[in-house]
Amino acid sequence: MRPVLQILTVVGALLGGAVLGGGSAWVFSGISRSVGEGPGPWRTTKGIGESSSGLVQRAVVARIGIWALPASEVVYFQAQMDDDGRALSRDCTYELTADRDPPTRWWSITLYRDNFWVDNPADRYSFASSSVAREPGGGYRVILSSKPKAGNWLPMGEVDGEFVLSFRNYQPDPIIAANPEATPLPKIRRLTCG
Amino acid sequence: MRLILTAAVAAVVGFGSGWYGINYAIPYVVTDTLFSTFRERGAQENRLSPTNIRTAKTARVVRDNADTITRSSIIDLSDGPLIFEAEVPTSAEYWSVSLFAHNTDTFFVANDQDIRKQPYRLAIRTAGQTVPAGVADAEAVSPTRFAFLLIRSTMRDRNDKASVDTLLAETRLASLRPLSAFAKPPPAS
Repeated sequence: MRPVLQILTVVGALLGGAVLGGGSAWVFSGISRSVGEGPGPWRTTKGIGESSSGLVQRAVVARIGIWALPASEVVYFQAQMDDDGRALSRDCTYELTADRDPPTRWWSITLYRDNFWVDNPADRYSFASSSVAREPGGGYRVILSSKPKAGNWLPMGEVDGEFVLSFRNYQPDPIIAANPEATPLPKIRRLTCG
Repeated sequence: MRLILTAAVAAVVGFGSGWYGINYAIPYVVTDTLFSTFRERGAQENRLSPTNIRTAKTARVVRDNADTITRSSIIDLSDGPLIFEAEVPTSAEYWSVSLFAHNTDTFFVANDQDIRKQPYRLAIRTAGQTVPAGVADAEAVSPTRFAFLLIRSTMRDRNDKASVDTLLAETRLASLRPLSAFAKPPPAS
């Protein structure tokens, strides 16, 4: 083979590899994944919003949670599935229940479709420790559904997409970051579908 | 055979370079894209945004917190340090001012429980800039010339209009000005 063709082959392989590597990085960073530690379907990862973040984690956070605060200020959990490992769907109704709050100053549960709030006439995108109606024992029950429900109803809207729940713990007790598996977060039970 | 081996090594090197380069660039690109969006909607460097409640129709930031009233500013330290000043709200469930470098790393955060003095003054500068002693209660040193300032005022319930109105009014009591506005000698009487 001529030297020019050999050089072109190597340069082509280099450029092809670069395009593939760059493309993979872009796709990978934009995929919302439930990785890390946490109870049930809830997951959190260490290092969010910190200068110690790795290259990949910083890119992922920039695309799906930019300007997140470090764990000393907020610990973020996310859930994309119910307790049985099924993806959240607007065709179904879910019950989120907890009998106590996590050890944190203030918390909120927010529902996202494709990483943005679910548009709805009630202007209701979340419930927080300060807004959720409580059960007699101090716990709470939130219903996720595309159909109107009584009580703490979090609308799933009229458009399909990838649904994610985010549970934010503001000014958390350090035990949450140290042992996320033990954090008392709500169970996510699928009630009905169709 | 030798050519195939060389091409394979080149492809692996290329893949690694592409992977590293794009992951490195993403935070800067995402930040710059959001800055462009904010500018198109009227944002100006070193000026706090208006105090409004966002809805699903107006929110532009991914995984935004629906329970916060936010104010923000694109920070450009080219012309010297800035002074952020705020009366910290008393009706917020949580309040903080945070600063993010161009690559999205948090380099400063202070919340309402950290702050003991009203009004609270924060100097924002780069490593090569100086702020006279006594001008501010705290200093934030930005690793980059461009940064992003974000105020988070957390609402008790976004659907409770009375409490939201109170918090909106409290969150408005913040400003961002150049250091020169504070360092000038008082006018002669």
